[in-house]
Amino acid sequence: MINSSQKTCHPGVGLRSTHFPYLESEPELNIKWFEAVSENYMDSLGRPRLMLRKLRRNHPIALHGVSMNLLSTEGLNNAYLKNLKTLIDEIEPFIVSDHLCWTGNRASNIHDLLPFPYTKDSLEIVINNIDHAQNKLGRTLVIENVSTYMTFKQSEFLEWDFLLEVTKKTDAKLLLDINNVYVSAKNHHFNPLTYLNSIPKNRVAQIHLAGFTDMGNFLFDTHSKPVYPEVWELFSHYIKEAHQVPFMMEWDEDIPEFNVVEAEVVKAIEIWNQYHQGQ
Amino acid sequence: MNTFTLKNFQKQFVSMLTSNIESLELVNDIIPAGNLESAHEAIGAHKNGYIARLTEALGETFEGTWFSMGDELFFEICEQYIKRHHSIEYNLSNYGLNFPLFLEEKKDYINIPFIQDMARFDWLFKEIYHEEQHSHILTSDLLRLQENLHLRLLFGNAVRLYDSQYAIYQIWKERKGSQDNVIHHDFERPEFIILYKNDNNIFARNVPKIQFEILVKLQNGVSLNSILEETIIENQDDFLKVFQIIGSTNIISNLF
Repeated sequence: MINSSQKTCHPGVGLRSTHFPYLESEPELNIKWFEAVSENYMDSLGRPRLMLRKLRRNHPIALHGVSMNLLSTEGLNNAYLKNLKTLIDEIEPFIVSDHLCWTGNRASNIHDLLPFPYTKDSLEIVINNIDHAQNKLGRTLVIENVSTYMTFKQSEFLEWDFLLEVTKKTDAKLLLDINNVYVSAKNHHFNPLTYLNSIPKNRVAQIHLAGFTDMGNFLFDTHSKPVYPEVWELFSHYIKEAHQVPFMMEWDEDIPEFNVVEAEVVKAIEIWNQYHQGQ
Repeated sequence: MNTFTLKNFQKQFVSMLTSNIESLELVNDIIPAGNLESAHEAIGAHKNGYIARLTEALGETFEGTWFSMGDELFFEICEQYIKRHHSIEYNLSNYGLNFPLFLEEKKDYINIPFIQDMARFDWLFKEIYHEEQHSHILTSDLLRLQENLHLRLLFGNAVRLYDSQYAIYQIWKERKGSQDNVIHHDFERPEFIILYKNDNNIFARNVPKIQFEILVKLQNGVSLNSILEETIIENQDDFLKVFQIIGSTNIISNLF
């Protein structure tokens, strides 16, 4: 497991099925750990699960969900939590994360990371849901900030204040997606450094890096491109004082060869080394 | 007091995404991102993604169906299906259970006689892909059947018996290639297939109808003795061949 008491770099990468054949050849890797999308392995006892078990023998694994639906007003899906718990018990991940969002309701799962107003009502609902999930899973959750394409007049909190309030009330940690911070900052006209500087380093358990798509009139979080220079700058700013935080690269659409994704991680390692190598 | 609760907000948001039912309350609450000009444009970012994501999920599961229909027709039918059948699964890869039935409803429009059979096969293949490799009994254990014909066979969890009016398997095998490779394929005949996992690899094996029918009875828990009593088998070789198949495919988990 990752030891946070030493200045050690913890680079990781998102595990994608298109890379299974390459990874099965057991190449030498620059990364130390993998992040697996929980839902892709929870219900599969076939090749995906076999691959995850195989990688787990030599690498720490983080489980990253997209369907816990933490802002659900109908309560969380207990069958989902049960299946996730079974996977957690087998894989023993060092992080279990999901998103600060909702994904639909019982009648219609939208399978998207949907925005919501930052109100006291939302805060109470998400706190109850996170408590429920943490009790069922028997561990602390790590919550990721998402990119958004709208905000709401009824919101009573700024996004980062809401996020911090959630972590304070639940003891959940943060998965800080720096690409999402940048995308939302550009979309909603705020300074991304204000966001990053508001997040205490000791609350962050993991960092995400990814690429977005410029749609012309807004930025869209597609995970289909390399990391943008502006996002590298923000990463550099944040990692300078957060040497212990594991970071990883997500690539979910138009997925290139593994070594292209890994090359992005190597860039992140080089930035980390600028501040922390030899210390 | 704010009556626009998160519950109402979510209900209205989902209705706008999936059913085009507009909520003025929601529209008035939205501040669009970037240089988007309206709440509708902001909602559109999610609405377009919704159809695309579910279509992609159907495309991943129904590869043979997509190959057979071509892009334009497949995407059109997917959109119709998605608008009628909302996903209630937390796992996107489980979406589309009744897609084969939907294709049957649309068969006159699709005009591909075997399309429902292809979709059923696609779904079974997906199921097998995610099944755990079952443990299997040894061939020597099968010999116990010679001493006790009342024994029944427990098939492994990673085994499916598939029969169809049309022969689709050769077309399905070409699903990652060119349609030119199957243009002359004769599908106008029934097909009987054992789809199974052995040593974590997936196999499909064509068998004659009579052997398939024996396998179906065995899978349904009918003992060999009962099958022999109720079936008129002109060619006893079919029984032998069924047990040769069983021995070579490792599809039996236990005798009971």
